[in-house]
Amino acid sequence: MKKFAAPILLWALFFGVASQLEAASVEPKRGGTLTLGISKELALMNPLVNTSSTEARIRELMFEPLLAMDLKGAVVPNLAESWEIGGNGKLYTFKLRRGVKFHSGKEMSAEDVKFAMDYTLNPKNGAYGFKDLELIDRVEIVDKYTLRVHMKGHHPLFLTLLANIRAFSVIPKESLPEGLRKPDKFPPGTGPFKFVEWQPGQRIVFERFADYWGHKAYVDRVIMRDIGDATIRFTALQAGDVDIIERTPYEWVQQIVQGKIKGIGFAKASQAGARNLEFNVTDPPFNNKKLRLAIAHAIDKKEILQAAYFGLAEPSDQRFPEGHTWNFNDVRTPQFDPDKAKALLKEAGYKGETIELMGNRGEVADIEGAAIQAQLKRIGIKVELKILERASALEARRQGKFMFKLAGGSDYPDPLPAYQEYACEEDPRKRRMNETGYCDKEYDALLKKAEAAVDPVLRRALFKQVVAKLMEDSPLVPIGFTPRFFTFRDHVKGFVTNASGDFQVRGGGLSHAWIDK
Amino acid sequence: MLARYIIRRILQLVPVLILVSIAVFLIIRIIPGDPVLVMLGIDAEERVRISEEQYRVLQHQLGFDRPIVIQYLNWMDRIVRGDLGISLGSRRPIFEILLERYPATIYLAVAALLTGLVIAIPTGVIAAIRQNKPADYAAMGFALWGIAMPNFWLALMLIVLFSLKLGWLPSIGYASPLDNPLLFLQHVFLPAIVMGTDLAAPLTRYIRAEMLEQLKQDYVRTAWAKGLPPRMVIIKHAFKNSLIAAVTVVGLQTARLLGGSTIVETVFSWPGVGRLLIEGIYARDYPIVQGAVLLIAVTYVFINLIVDIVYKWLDPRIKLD
Repeated sequence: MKKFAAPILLWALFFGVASQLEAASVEPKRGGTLTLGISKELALMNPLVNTSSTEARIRELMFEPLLAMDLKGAVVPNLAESWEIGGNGKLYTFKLRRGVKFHSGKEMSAEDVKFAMDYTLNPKNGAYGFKDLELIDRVEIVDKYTLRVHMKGHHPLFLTLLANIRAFSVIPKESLPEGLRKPDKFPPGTGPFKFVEWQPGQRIVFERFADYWGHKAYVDRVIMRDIGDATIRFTALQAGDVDIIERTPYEWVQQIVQGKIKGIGFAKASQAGARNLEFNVTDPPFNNKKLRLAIAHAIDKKEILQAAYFGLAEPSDQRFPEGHTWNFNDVRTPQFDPDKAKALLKEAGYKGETIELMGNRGEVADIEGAAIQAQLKRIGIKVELKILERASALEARRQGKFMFKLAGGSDYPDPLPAYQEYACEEDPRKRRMNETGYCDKEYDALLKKAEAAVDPVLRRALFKQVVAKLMEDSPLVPIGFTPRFFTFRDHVKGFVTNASGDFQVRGGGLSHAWIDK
Repeated sequence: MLARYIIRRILQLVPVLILVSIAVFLIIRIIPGDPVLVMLGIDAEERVRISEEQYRVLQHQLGFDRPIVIQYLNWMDRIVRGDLGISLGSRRPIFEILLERYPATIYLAVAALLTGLVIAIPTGVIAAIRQNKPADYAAMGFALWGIAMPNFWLALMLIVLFSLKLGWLPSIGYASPLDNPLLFLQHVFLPAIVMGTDLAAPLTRYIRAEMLEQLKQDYVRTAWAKGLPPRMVIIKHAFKNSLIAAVTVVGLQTARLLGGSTIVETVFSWPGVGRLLIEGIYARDYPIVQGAVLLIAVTYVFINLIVDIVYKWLDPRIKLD
């Protein structure tokens, strides 16, 4: 029976999503209030400073990026209607959409966009997008609806970054004070919902923006309630205290899929997170490549994902999932082979020392870790689990104070930032992007070539070499891609999300959700 | 006399708070974690995608690049002037945040205290006067169950029963009693039962033990011999005298309740100080943690003072000196 479980689950998942899309095709009704249970509270009312990914998702209701991404992940016009790239990739000219109104009623102009970009680029403001916009030399206003951005260098991902509000979102000129002072209220945005009130620890209330330039929301109000514990969040959904919740625990999703829980539907964010096993390659024992490869051959990814994610996650051998444009299925990667793992272990000279595996508390790292621990024990490796809370784990990762760890990977639209995470860094005790400490000149040279490549065919060929080199050296073992699930009561219709699980997306999200009761 | 005693106790608060402030200031800094990184929005899932320049500017602005002694003295300097600082996360004044969160904790504490007393007093008294009878066994069984029961488990079970199965009460949330008393009662019922049970369980045992002790005393025997009605003997004589030990327990528990319950507040999404504190610790929001702990310390000292005064009222022989 067990061997049929996974196909049944996939089948049910497909039809679950399909039924949602079908539901979306029925004539939507206007009005009502939609209550969303969220996992983390808003921290502050500054749209350009970020404290968590949930915070950015909340703000997506009110604020918009210059460009956007459609549900398939392609960069599309948004507040900027069109753009041109000149000056050898160093000059971007954006034509802004006319008649876009802020929630205050004022019309958006190039001055406002320049203000938001300059604010982000001021290091005193602690803006999240500083790093994304770092290559901007200056922003020039051509006329009310035209903006020129002069770059210090070629930035292949610039447009992709501008499609996310984490780089910056457009707010009216002079609507935020400089420095770390708090704004008393949110500045007006241009999004489909207006901010109404925030009662810390309780609720955030939004109202439909009737003058929105794009698809106007169906519901009158959205209320977000902060329910930190995932089980309580799901119980609140079942009890009817909320209509929809984010980050539903996998065990409940499995029960919905199997039809054990009725009256609840779901929307899947297919690639919300990547799970990797990363080695600290600068110190023993994992400065030994053979030991890393032994582990890469010893772990059974399907078994780990089954235990931790109830079979709802997809195994992967690369930083991009199978079937993705940037997954190269002809690149050789270490496969599950216990005999080969044992042979490599012998060659590596492992003598039975205990190896520590680090993970973050609050994820399912304890379950994943236990599965890895059991699998490595089968080939004779002793593993001790070390589960740390977020801030402590972050510090250990930065200072390289770990042996190997379970790591989440960001969901990148392009291979460059994904593989830059393994490029050499100046100080191995002050790690920034590259937490493994892996540093290989050949790899860096390949990555630089790929970064500079403009021709798509050449770029693809170069990235293939980058992936092959990285997998050969194995500073990491990709495990798989984990979805996230929104679950909602039956009367919620039309809600679809993107692969990352955003609350508000182009062509979907809360503005497309409606209430049928 | 009483006024002088109260003034002296309030003055004693100063060294206590200084010690608490040093302890919390050091402890939050000893645990690993970098508040600047957390503040810049580095998720557990994500890489540290910040520039060195931005990091240094912020570190300097927040004063984290100065020696720890200077950081402490700066903080103390501000506290003396009534400024608890600014939250690293929300960048709002700590005083304002505590003022916003404390009422919810106080309302819940009062509701839990009343629930606890309503359960514990009759149960304890009945257990004592029906010693070694089924009522006593039932009361002691309840006390044992209440002590052994983890708060989060009881909370979940109550939510499943009252919210999910019966649909009588909301599972989560909060409403101020000043804005909507009825809604407040609906929301406070389950958390108050959880915290009240936690309080009632040990209190029942204390009341029973003290009542048994008092019922054996000569003055009680005299009262029975005088032919006083049972209610008079039990309530007026024995019960009042058995309260002294109970007041100690109630006092300490009240102080604990007013410190906010991280678990109960988290489970029921109750916007109190306990939840604020735990969120502050996870976010390494030093000023929030320091401010909340100081508030809890002040509460403890004041509740202890009130307990001492109540002692005096219950037993005039006790000298406050």
